[in-house]
Amino acid sequence: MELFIDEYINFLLSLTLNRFIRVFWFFIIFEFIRYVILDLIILIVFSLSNKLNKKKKNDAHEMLTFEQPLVSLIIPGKNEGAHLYKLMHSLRNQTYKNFEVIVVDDGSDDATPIIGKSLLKQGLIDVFLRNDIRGGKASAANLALRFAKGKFIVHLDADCSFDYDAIEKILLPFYLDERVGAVGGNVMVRNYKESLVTTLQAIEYYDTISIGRIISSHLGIYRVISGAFGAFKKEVMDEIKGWDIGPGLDGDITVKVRKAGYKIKFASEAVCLTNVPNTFRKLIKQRMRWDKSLVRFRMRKHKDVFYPNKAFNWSNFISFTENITYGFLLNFKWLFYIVDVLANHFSQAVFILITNFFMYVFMNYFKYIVFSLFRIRKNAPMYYFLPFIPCMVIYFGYFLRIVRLVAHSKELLFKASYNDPWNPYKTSKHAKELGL
Amino acid sequence: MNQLEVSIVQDEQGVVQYKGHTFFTLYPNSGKKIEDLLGFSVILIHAAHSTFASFTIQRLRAFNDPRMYLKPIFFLQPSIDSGNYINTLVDGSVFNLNQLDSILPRVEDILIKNQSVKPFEPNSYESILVMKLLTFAYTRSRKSIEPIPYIFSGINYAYPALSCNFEHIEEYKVFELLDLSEKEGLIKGSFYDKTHYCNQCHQGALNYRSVCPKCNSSNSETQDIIHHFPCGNVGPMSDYKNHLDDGLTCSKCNKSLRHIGVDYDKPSVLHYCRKCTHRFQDFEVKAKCLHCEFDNSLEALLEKEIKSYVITNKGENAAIYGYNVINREVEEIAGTVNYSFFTSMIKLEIERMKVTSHFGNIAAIAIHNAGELLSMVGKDRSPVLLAEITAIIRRFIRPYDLVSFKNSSLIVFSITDVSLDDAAFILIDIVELLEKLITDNVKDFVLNIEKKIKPLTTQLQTTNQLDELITNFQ
Repeated sequence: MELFIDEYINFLLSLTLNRFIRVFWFFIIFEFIRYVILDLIILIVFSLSNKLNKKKKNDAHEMLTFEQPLVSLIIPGKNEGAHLYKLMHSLRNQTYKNFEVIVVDDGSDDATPIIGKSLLKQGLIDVFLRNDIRGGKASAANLALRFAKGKFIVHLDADCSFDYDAIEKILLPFYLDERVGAVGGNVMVRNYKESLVTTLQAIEYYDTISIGRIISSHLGIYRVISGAFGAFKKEVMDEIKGWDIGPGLDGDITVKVRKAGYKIKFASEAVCLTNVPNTFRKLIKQRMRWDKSLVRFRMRKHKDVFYPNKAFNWSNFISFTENITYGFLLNFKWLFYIVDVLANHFSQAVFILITNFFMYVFMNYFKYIVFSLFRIRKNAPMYYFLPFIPCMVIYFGYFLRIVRLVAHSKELLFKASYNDPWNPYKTSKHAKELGL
Repeated sequence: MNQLEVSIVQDEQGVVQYKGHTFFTLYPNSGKKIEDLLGFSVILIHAAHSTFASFTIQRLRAFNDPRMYLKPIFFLQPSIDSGNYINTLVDGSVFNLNQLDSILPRVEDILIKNQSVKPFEPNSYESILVMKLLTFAYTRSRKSIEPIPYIFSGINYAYPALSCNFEHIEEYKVFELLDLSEKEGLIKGSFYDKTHYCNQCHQGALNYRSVCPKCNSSNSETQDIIHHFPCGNVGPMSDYKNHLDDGLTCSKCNKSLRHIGVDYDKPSVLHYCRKCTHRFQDFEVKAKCLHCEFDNSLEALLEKEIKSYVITNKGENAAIYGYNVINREVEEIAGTVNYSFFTSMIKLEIERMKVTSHFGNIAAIAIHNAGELLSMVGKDRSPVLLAEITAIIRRFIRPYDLVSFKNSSLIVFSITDVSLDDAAFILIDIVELLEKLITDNVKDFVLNIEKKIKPLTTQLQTTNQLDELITNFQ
């Protein structure tokens, strides 16, 4: 052990700047510069612009309060009845009151129809629509959209609950910039204490997803409006004719809105709490679905974003390029980095991986602590997550990367998303034939 | 054959004397009053005109004199079967007068039974009807009282001997009388069926309709919801209707919908209210009352258990010897005491009179048609009316005087510490005010009221003095 430590210290001492860059190029270029330096700069700019735009925000709030537009909250889903009562009470406490609630039951085989009808009778929901035959999330959302009367559509997941001002906060960006077509809410993890896997996801949502969305929104390249909590202008939804077949329809609808020429914003103060998968098996299933959709939608269905004569515009191009680079290519590049380490520094591979690990731990702590200065709302005490930060290196650096690699490969080679039972086969079959 | 040989002929008035009985034939437009028919042993209703026959038998059985409602009544020349309800009220039928022999045994049986029913004066309208129910069954040798599904009944089922006494709107009171009789142990009920009535008017003629949950209109249009698989578009059929070729075209992707189950399906339906434009998937079922037009929600309908009854021994005795049902509501009127307490207090008053020189009087007011009055006022308002009557009496007597309802038609009270003459004036004032109260509040009602006053004496038993007061009202 002593010998190993001596050798490791010698390895560290032998690192010149050039050699350090050569050995840890992946971390330095793709992780530290992109996810720490760049993010920090943007967060500072974001924070400053937020302060400068305070009056604009107040004006937007006043306009919203004055106009009080009708908002249609749509909740499509299958077998979600058990969550509905709690959700309706969470909605009743909202500061924004002028909304209608439309629940679509997509062929549930549990007590959802009975619960839905009972809530309708009690006046807790305004419209309850049931499809006896399951058609998939997109069809359920489209049915709700068909009967929505509001100026804005807010898509919710039934198992979520909301901050008392969440609806109000998610509407504000529409009044800050009229070119905004859709706004994503800030989804946080409710069951973060349930298991290690939920805690790790909570840190991921807290750190990477939430902060990542603040930054991408500020840069105009925000990619995915979460289906759990997203708001859309009704006229925009009518223009793009609603949701297309999933899985991955959250990302798809975001791209459709973007391609129609509208801006997408992230409302970090519009907070929604959700339960995340509580086992690694369930998490893998979820992430495989999400990751496959990157290939399916970004690289196939919406590839015309890259063609100058079609749906090209710079922000779409940058958004897609960033997404494909960091979500897709870097995974393979990371594989290339591992091969590089093994091929060129085989004798020191273990030291390199250990050093990488420490650097990632340091980076994660740094991000966690420094970035917390920019967070407006926390759903858990900061100290709770501190002991789990080192685990994030394994979770984020290895676990999620491997899942992503497998998902991308499966989708690239076998178009596996079309066989996902998340969506009924009767619709996926057509989507596959039409390349949707 | 015998009947054909001996021809029986009626006189010009429609009267036939046959084997010691006087048969009277009642024709349409005969111009007879019911009272005119009391003297005949048997009534024959000329039933060639079935509406006349049905109407007449109900009127005769509804008459509140046992000499009429218990009388043997038969149909003559019935043209059609009148149904169970009318058949229960009528004692039989003959096709011509030559068949009178065939009904004689029945006539004699009824008349013998009628004679065994002792003369009795019911003290309230409820008692009249309960007695009618029991004596009619007894004289027709019926041990049970069966409900009859009846299309013209306001409550869907008829108990003929009772139902014929009520207009449709009041027919629900039949249940009150049956419940009262069952509580008294005169009849014993068992489950027969359940039925529902309008929450507002207690009528059973209901139209069950599928209506819009917002405006209750049944004027709606139903459309299939269509889900187009390739693009996930969902909407009502009208969104897809192609007016050029009558086919279906997706409004989202412009593709033709060709094959159900392959490129589209119909996962549900949607109803569109033509009145308020509300769109909904589940109709609400409402029961519209055909009488008062109130739209009842199904949960709000009055559910009533229909029972068939057997007459108990007590009921049979009551049929023969008479029985006054106790209306327990009168014991709960504010400002009154029950009759036994009243008796005890009068006894104490007499004891007090023995040692002092005070006067004491007892008075009684009988409202002979109280039953009719209360039935007109309605079950809900009856206690209010009785309370108002009590309040009027109390206004004229001393606070320590007592008022008691012997039953709903007979009120007794004390008027102490005044002379008999003064007490008599007080009683006149009370009765005047009561008459005013009732004529002001109950339209078209002629009050049949009687009053009596007696001085209390230390020479007679309390019960004797009270009996003397309350008996022998006209």
